[in-house]
Amino acid sequence: MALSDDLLEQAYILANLDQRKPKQANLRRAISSAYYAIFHRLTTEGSQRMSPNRPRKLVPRVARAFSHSEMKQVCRGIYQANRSVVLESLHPQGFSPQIRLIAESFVELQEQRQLADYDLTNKFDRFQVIELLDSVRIAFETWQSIRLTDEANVFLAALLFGGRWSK
Amino acid sequence: MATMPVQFDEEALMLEIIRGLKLPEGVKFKDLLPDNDWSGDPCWRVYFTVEKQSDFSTSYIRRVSAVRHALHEAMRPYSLDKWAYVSFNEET
Repeated sequence: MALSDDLLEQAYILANLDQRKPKQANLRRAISSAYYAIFHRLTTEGSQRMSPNRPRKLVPRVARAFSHSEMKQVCRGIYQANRSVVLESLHPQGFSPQIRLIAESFVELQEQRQLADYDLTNKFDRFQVIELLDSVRIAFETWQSIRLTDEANVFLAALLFGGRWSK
Repeated sequence: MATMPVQFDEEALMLEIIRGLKLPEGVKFKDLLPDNDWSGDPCWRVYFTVEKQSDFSTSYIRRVSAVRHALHEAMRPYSLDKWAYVSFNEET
């Protein structure tokens, strides 16, 4: 099983601990794990497609080049149809509802992960967390159905290079 | 593409969009707040409450999630700069 699947499974385990009164620590870690599940799913596939697999350390090094904030901006742009000229030229027909759904999920989870990890004034409840986890599960199912398409290649490349494509 | 007046009240537009959403049973709109997200980008925070239940089915959770997607889809034609982050909290 891939790391991203394990992280999502871990998120569900954490969210379902403490049946009566869930601990904030478990709910917060569940959100964080779910965010990293979708982050690693996209960066792992992106780096594998964007880099030769030799030497062995090259792909993981390329994976480290993905930036959280740039990925968010690219996902927002794709969702809101506010795309750079380069992206427009690479995929003029616009992104499918499937890619937009994945982009939407990524933006939401990234913000919730920041709140979960750093904002101690924010209190989470189990429904809120399970709902977020399910949105990642749906994003994974959706990704599986379109991951081998041309637009998936453009999406992954944009997540890595999108910040530079707007220049 | 929807036509926007030169000056418009984005909060009023957001409330109109939210009022137009079809909410599943037990889900109520609670609040709309302007804020900045973690990276400093201006955003909206949209809060809904969900009636407390002993167990939530997967299909119910998916119907609730669809509200977030419906809100974002309804915002798209207006090309608003701000993202709307949506939370569904259990009623206390």
